[in-house]
Amino acid sequence: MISLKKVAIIGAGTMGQGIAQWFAEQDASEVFLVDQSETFTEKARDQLIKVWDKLIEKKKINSSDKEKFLKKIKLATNSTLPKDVDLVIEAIIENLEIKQQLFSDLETKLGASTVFATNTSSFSVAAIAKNLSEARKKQFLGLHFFNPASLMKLVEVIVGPETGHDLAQEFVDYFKQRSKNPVLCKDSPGFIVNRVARGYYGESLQILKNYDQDKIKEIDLILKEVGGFKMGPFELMDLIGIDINLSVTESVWNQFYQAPRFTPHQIQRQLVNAGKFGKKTKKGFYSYE
Amino acid sequence: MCILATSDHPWFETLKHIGLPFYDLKANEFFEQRWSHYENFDYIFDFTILNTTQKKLLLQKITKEFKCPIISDLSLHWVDAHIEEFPLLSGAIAGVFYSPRNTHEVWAKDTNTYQAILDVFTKLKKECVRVTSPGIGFTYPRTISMIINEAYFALEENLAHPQDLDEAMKLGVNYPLGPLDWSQKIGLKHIVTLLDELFNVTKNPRYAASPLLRIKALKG
Repeated sequence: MISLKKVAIIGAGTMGQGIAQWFAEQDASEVFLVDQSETFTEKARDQLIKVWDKLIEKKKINSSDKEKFLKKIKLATNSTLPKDVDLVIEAIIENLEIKQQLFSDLETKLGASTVFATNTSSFSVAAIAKNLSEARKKQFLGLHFFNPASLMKLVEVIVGPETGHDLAQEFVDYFKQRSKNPVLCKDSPGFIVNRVARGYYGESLQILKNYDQDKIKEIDLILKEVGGFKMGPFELMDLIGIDINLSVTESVWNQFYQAPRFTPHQIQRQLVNAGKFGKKTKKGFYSYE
Repeated sequence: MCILATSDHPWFETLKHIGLPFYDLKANEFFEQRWSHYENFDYIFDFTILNTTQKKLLLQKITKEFKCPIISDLSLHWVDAHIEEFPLLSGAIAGVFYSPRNTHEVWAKDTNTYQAILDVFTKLKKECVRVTSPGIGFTYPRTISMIINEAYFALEENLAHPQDLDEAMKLGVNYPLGPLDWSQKIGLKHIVTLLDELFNVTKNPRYAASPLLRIKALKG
């Protein structure tokens, strides 16, 4: 059984914070939140304090729980990260070269027993591990959390072609024992969720054909009322970010050698080019002003 | 009102017991005249599952023989083209695809037709959403077909265990059902039929059905 007492999360953005929160709430003794500067990590820790304060308000945890969790959070940069962490999870920007470089650097700094994991949503685990030693590749896998990572039960445990035979199963067992629902998945573009969900957006865009506010509302309504989906595809793209959604679609499409069923739609590109990314820019398929 | 249906329609058994004249089309000669003894129809409700050629022949037959408005389940067909071709087609229903909300898309040319659809839906204890442009196979059937098709492509590649695949979609993006479970509730042959219709109409290879889905649909 794998023991994860010291866990490091690289990247103190929303995803990194959520993953760090979850590990701090488990049986890890130290959770290192790592980013390029202390300003980022301090900000992330402040956010975590707010999240735990809210949970106290909602009576989900008590103040001694918060103190216990917070005590586990350690701020670090790549250069100050201790050598003996059991697991390091990368949750940085979706850029293959930057991720490859990060793991190359980590390999020179961290001990041989540290398991390396990526939270990538779109790149091949094998490609990210490309520059690592053969021994480290066996200790490398994908752990794809879903936002908000502290609440969402699903973790895609991605088995790269060189991932050690038992390692992925050990992680599946670890998560199962700690209230997550892990699923084992091969190292294939978009893994399960980001791949299978492409049709929800892509086909809705095919039906829409051209920007038409009434039609957008109608499609969203139908898929909620008839299909039972929690959110319509256009509401959801606005929430995720049309730029992010397009980027994932393009990534899956390109990795599948531009298979027609993943082809991005021109409306996505038009909206992105016009700076209409959805809720975050107050304009997307809908207006939020 | 009068109901025509084939036994492979998912509402077939219920349709038989809603107190409307009912005719099982498949159990009889396709073009025999026996169902013409129902007189003075204000609407003919067509709940047959037929291929495109047969569906057109049926609609031509009704148009020629009865000259009354038709409301047809066109879940698996190019609805817009049928509306264009058959002026008596005043309503269309997407009833073939299972809905987790027991709610289905309907298109109606006018208020009277919509009311007639509502009357039948009330008898069936089903809800509906009125849509403006049903296109090819309406919105929900073609969207869920594409999601399910991708799940079968993934299964073909052994991407994950089938249960994990369903679990991931329910937990990761809150789908009400996993796509493989969903496909069983809809019926694989209907999904393949709609994908083929989409391909035939658009000639867009995005609608090519997964070979595994096609094989499993053949097995039934």
